[in-house]
Amino acid sequence: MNSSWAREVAAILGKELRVELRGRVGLYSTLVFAVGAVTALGIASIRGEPSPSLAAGLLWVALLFACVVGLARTFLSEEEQGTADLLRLLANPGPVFWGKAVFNMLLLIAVALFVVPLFVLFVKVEVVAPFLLISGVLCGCAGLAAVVSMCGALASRAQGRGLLMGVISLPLLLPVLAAGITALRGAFGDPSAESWSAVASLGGMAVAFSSLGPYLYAAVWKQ
Amino acid sequence: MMLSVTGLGKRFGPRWVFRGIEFCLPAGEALVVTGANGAGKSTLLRILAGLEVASAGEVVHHAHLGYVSPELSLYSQLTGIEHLEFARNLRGLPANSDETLLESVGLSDAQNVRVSAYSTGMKARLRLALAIQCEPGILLLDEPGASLDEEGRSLVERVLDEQRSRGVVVLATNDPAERRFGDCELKLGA
Amino acid sequence: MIYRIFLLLAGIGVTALYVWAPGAKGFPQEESAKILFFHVPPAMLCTLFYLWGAVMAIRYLMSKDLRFDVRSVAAIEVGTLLCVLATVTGMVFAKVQWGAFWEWDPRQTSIFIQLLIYAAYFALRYSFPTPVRSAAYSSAYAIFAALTAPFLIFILPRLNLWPSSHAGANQAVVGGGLDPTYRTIFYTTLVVILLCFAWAYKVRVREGEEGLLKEVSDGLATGGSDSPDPGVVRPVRLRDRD
Repeated sequence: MNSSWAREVAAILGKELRVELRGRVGLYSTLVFAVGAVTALGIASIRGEPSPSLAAGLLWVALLFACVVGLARTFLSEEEQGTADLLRLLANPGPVFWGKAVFNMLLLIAVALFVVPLFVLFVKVEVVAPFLLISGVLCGCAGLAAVVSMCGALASRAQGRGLLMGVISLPLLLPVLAAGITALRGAFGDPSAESWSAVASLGGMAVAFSSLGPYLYAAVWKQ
Repeated sequence: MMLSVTGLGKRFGPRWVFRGIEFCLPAGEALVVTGANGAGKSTLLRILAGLEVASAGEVVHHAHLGYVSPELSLYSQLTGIEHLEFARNLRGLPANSDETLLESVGLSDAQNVRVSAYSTGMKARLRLALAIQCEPGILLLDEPGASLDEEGRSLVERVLDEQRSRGVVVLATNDPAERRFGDCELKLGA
Repeated sequence: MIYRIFLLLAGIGVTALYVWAPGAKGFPQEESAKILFFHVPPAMLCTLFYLWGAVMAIRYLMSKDLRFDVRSVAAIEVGTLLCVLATVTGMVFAKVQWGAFWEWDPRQTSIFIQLLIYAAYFALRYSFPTPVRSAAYSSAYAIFAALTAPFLIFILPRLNLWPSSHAGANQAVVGGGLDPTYRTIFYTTLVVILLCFAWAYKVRVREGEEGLLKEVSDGLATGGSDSPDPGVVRPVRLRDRD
């Protein structure tokens, strides 16, 4: 990567952060959604703690819905507000994709920082391997953000983009989700889970999806 | 030759908006594009700017592009100066030219105001500033005078004069006052 | 015509082989395990067609020639048909061998996720107003979807999400652990099924190309509704250069 790429990625990321900090719509709505989901899960587990496997699944479902709702905005809002043309005139597709994907990752990690402790508190699940939990959540968030960014980029110019966003991202997120569940099963005390290889494959997916993203986005950029 | 176009056509479904358009613009020339509503003036400019794909023909140019259109939306959360800073970083231009540029389009007082509080005319000035920031070889103006006051129109005139010493201008308009800036005229839908 | 007669005869031959073949050793129900002749090949071929769809999508994005897009959709449609076949025969297989239609076995899970991913492809494809944009976006999606295949096929089953009942059976088929007669019948069936679906692909491509030709000529021949070709349009000079 050369310096002009880095400069452009930084410019896009800076713009996203600035717009987000002023509007706070994305962070706020994602957070409210995730907290609502965790509360529902907490109520569901009043009468008994879920197994490590179920707890891992529940946590990812909460994060998954939050990110489909909140993260797609980064790409969709450019089209909705009509600023996509300005971006196309000024920027190159690769840096735009990466700037937005990095922003999405930061946003999701910020949400996870709040939601994961809340989940542990509400659902009363025991964390036996905290470091595994942290690395699993970080790599998983990177994977989720990469896939959701790609889907946002692909759905942004379609008719009914909000709906389509959910339709295309959920199936593509299932492999990430499956690996994420295995990673967190170990963290919640299931010794049979191959959690570290799951963390590795989460990292692999995040790298694979986010390195293909710029090329695919470039291919549809000016269509 | 700064800008050359051969056999350019655009259709939506089976309907051709225009087709067979050909021209070459040497440096210093201004082309005025006229035509009734729906004749494809804006579409032609969008194709020249690379925002839309032509159905036939091709556009060849080797210069920076500046594009101004009332349809071009700005980020309502950002201020005027932040727009220029964002564009400058993306274009890789040297720093510290933003204030002077805003001053030249008459937005000095509003440089730290968010665009959501800008009037239509102020937005038009900011778009103009964004387009000329990179000192483009080709300037594409879609209805530049629309929604501008007397002072704004003389600003457009000044920009047009500057641009002709730097490269070419393509101007889409039906305003007779703006039409006289053209060295040649392309009539669409005739 | 000859090709179709050949396919018909090959189909009859394969059915005869199916009836004649001995029960599959190593399965709880040897006789009914013969469904693997019609279960494993679609599962293998659907991935092949999906990958072909992605290759054609790459060629489309590089050339912007809509004929490659037609091939890409055709391959993904045929692949989806095979994917449905593999899922359904797999469910029957699972019911007979393990007593339940759905077991969340690794292969079952990954092929079902694949089916969902490609179902979404069609949702994306029909959400764009113009054919060119729809072709570009769905090509990009097809490439992205193909990238998930290695994770689904190779990595997911190794994550120990499941107590796998499939591992032994896959070993037997892929690792060549079947006896020679069985292997011959299996590969013959694989080839015949491949030829059948290659034919379906060919028909679909031809139909798609005809549609393409029609759409292009519609606009070109009439110039839209009733306007004739205006020829070349050039600017007129308003004043001489100073």
